Amino acid sequence: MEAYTLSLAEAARLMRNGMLTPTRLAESLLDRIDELEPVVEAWVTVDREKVMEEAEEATKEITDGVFRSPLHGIPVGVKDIYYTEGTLTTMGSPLFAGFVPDRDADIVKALKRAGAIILGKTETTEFALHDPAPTRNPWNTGHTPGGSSSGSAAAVSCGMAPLAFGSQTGGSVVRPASYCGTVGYKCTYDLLSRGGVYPLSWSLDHIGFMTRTVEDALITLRTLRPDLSDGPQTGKPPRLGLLSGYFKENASEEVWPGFERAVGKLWGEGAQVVDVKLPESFRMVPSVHRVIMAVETAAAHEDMFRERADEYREYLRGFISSGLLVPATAYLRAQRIRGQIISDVVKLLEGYDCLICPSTVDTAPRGLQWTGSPAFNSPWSLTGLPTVTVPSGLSGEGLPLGLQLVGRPYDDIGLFRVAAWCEKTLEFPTGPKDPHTP
Amino acid sequence: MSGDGEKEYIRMVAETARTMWGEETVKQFMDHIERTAKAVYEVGSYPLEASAEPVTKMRPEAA
Repeated sequence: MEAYTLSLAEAARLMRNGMLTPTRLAESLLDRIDELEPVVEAWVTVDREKVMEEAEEATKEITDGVFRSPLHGIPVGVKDIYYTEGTLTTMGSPLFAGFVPDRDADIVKALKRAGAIILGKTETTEFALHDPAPTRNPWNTGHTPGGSSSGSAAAVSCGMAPLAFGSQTGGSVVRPASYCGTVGYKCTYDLLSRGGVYPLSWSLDHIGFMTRTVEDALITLRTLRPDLSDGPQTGKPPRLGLLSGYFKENASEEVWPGFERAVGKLWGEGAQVVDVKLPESFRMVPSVHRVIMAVETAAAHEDMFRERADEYREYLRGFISSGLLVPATAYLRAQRIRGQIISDVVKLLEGYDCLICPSTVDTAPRGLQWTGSPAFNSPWSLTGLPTVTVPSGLSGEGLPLGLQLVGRPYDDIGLFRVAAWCEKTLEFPTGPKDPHTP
Repeated sequence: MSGDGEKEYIRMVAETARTMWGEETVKQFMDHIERTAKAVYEVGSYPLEASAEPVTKMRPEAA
């Protein structure tokens, strides 16, 4: 078996038992990248020599009996808005075309401490907003992988990396993960440090990552936050609050029936599924999210935009311009309504292990000009609640569908427990996808 | 909230943008300007009690 096909958990177990070395795993992943990158275009930078050097160091350490964490010797992709010391970091923009940071983002530091190997930098839309990356969806290379964490999702999906990091301000982790048939996780707001990740909108930006299994995602979170407690475990099938309303009204013709099929399987295996009515304040999510994001993006870019507006691509330029026109009172009012929405949604979670809805409005759109709608993800970026997407089936066109689980604040570990149960019940294949070009 | 009020607000914002950046820029970015102004108008029309405080430091459990 080729090492690139292993999940993170399998690779870590084999390394611990001396049956796999970081060197062999890194070689296999680099070969996979060499083979598929011309088609998928998931990477901005891969420094083969540096990766192999670090893999050899990890191999020596592990051979000597030093096993730093389950991520020791595991190659990891990192979105190109994360600062990486000595490695090109472009933010997906010509404005940062040659920029090499002199420090690591906090997450990158933590990964290195845990013994992980930074495999490379993955493609992103410009500054993690809208203007697309060149990356293609491995499930159908004529379709977008989603964005903004486009390269991370595609790389994990086709076995170029077992784990890759992204960020989410609207739907930039969960949407591409769902489009590419991977597990995607967005943490509770600020549970994982955003330090050294280029900001898009400070109060909406979240860290997240993609893996091919829930177990791999849980291992990653536990490694980065070993202090998190397990919470109560019942051992019973979960109690799920099903969100329809807004989600049913906005889902495409394929997505809602696919979601109902997945819910039927969960129910058939003993999950309690209860229809939950969204609070009245929820209707304000799109407007509140837009006002906050437009203003914070404009503020984050204000100085550079003043000097170099012409170097921004068109969508971001327009979005920043619109944010500069918002009155301060409107921004504060949006933050006041946001408080109401958070309070109402957190109350909704009482009595349930988590809420469920489809991960995306549609399947991955055809073409690379648009990365899809974040409408089913931005509510959770606005409220800061943790979310996980688990692949739940395929559309008639053979594109992945996702089940999105929304948890209680800071109960990210509990959310993974439910996600693991759903993953086992839904039985979506977890192996790497060979790119399909029709 | 009336449709006329929203239209008038969007018109005012576009006029401000025109003064700041000129006609060509406003034409180029009118879709963004309209969508954000529409969102601002909707936010402004949502009833709130004076005691409703803004989220200044996100703590989702404490809101």
